[in-house]
Amino acid sequence: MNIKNTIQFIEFNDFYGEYSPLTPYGQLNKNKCEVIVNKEQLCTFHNSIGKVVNFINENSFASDKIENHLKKIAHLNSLDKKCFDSTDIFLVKKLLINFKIIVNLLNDVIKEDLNLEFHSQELLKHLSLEGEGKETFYLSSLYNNKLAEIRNQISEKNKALTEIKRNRFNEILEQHNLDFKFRDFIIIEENLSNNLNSELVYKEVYNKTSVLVKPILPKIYFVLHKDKELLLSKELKLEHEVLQTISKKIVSEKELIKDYIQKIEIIDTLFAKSRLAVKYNMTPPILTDNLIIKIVNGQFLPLANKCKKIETAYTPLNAEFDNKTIVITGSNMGGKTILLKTVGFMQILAQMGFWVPAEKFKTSVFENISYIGEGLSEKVEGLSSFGFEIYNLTETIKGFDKNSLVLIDEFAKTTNSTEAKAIISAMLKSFSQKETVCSFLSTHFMELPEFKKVSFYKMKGLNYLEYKKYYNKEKKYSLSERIKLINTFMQFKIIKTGNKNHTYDAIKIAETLGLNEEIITHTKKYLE
Amino acid sequence: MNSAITNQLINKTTFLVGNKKNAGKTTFLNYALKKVREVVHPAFFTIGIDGEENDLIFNTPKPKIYTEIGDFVVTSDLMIHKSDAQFEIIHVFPYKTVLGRLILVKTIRSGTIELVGSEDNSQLAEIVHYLKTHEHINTIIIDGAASRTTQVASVKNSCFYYIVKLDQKTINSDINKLKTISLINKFKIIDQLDDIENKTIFEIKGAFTETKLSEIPKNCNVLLLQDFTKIFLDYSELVNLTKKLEIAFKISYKLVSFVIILKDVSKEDFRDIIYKHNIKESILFNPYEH
Repeated sequence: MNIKNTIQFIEFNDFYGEYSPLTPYGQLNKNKCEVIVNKEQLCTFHNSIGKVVNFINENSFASDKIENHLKKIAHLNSLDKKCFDSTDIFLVKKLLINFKIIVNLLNDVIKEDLNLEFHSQELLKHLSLEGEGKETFYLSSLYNNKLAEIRNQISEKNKALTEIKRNRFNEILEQHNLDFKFRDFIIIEENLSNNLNSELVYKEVYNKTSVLVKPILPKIYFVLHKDKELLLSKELKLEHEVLQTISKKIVSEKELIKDYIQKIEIIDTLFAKSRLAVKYNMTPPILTDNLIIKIVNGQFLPLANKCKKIETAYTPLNAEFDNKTIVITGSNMGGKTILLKTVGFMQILAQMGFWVPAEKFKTSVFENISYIGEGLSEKVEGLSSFGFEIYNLTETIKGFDKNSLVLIDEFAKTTNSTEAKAIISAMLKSFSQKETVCSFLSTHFMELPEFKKVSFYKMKGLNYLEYKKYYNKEKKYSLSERIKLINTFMQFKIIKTGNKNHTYDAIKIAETLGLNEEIITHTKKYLE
Repeated sequence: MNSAITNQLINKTTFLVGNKKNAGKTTFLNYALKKVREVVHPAFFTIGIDGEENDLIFNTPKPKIYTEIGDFVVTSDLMIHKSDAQFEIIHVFPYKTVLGRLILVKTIRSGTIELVGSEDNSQLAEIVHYLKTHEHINTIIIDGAASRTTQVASVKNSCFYYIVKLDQKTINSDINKLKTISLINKFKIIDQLDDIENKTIFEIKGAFTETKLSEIPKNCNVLLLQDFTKIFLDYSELVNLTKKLEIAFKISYKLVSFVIILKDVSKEDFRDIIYKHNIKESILFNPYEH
């Protein structure tokens, strides 16, 4: 399903940015931006969110802890290999520890719902020889006695090497007052270097006036160093053996670990969606097989949030549509586009497995969700706005063999009104006859023909009587004051009308926005 | 021996920035690490991947970095596996370099380690944030990329040492750089300016280059920049500008000291230079000099 245009139209990224899974697996899932078309699958998701929402509400401490453990999970390197290195093992260990804790923190309802169980206690124990619960990892000497022995020998050599160095540095300090404790070399003036003991230090030219002096370590140092090198290569070999042993154990539980990863992805996305459900007081959408949409107090969150920010009232949408082909008319700035956006927003949320910000949202599952109208960043070279609309319409119609939701905002407003009206009428006739298509079409064209299964609604528009009492013709309003004035007296409500309904708010709005009086007067006369 | 360095580094995030490639940053890092370990085990890492094999100042192979038991190191997993030291893996960062994933380790056996880091300033800031908030490591030393100061601004309230290799052959440009940093260091944070309400402030967002000079309005009293790393003017251009207006920053930073590596330039001559140019910042001479 190509929902790119719809996503842009409904300003979905404003909301989607708030959706924050905490693990890399949840993030990858988010990036897929997947719209689900399987009703059963969606219902399962919506039900699971209900269980998680209850859990969050009843166990806020445990849910905070779960979030903390989700944050700790990193993306594993490939599991499809035979030998893992220390980093791979560290990541597996960390995943097992945190998954186990998360499972323990969740309640039985969620565990049962998501079929969550931890079966890798033995493997985790093997990865935690230095103590259970410790999330760090290194190839401990406890894995192999020989390794322990070699490491002890390396440690002894290191001690001896340090001792030799220290003694030599002290000797140099005593004889020449040159302190190598913090430095590997010292730069001294050449004339001061003449009496240096060549058995203790050697010199290199540094620049025209100075030499670089380094300590000469006794031969035994290099003998011991060579011994240490040998021990290090033995250690490397033994470490490789340990890695192979651990790897075998991980490989034997590969499928289980992959299952844990899937479960982590589900838990993470469910918690992220549930946090939003709690924040916005969301409810589960009601999915039916009927293409008719009903919304009770539905909020178009991108706008509701903006209104909250600027402390302006926001009117939620209440609309119980009685048909699957809907025509919306109404004033400019009256909320037609916002209605389309609200429907699209709710639908995309529902089909992405979210709950919706509405008291009730009854809808169906659509296999295509399209938007046709202006304001899209994508353009096809050589096509005008009308041409681009026609292109999008053509592409949309191709999917009409499957359940489709089509949102059309002021179609063909850039072409001549006679032909535009004819095309819109034809679209209404065609769409209403298709059992699989639910469409919402906003328009300013009046007296469109009546068709079966097509309902006409209008946005209630400007409360002119109240507005008139307040509006002062003589006062010089700023543009923002004028916009605020319109919004204050605009009634963002939808009412059912017939196809003959006429709306004449444009002049009032033009007047409020400060259009030249001469033009307003001529317009009114012209209309008479 | 300079014990002030230890105090300067404790509980701070400090960048080592050089005026050019092979200015001696890594050599200074080894010294600084040894001094800091007297008090606390630091975390250290680098920016980007250093492809240089030799340290040209000392004409020696590129200095190795020593890590001691208890140190925290951020480098790539490949470098960890190559090292003769032994490490406990504490965290795997979600950043990849051509030399593997970046990881945070704690040294459990001393040895040498090659550092590999991210070149991305935002990743750098996230690494520092992780070290501080999750691991509660407060002494962090970052071996910065040569001649790039932008990294310093990526971490709020960080400090930096500016390591200047002063070579007789390139002395004029080296001194110019020193003078520029010294001059920039005198600029204040916007909040610290006096009588700010009565001044006309003009802000330049992003890099402040020569071409942007013409954008500054004539009545401007204060030119506001994000931070000192956004200045890409040479010394004389800056001096001319400061005659007309004040320059202020939004983000604070602290130059701890210049570290001066002299090559064929005597200390006396260098002292004359800083006196002549009124450079009053703290000067630390090459700690490897006797």
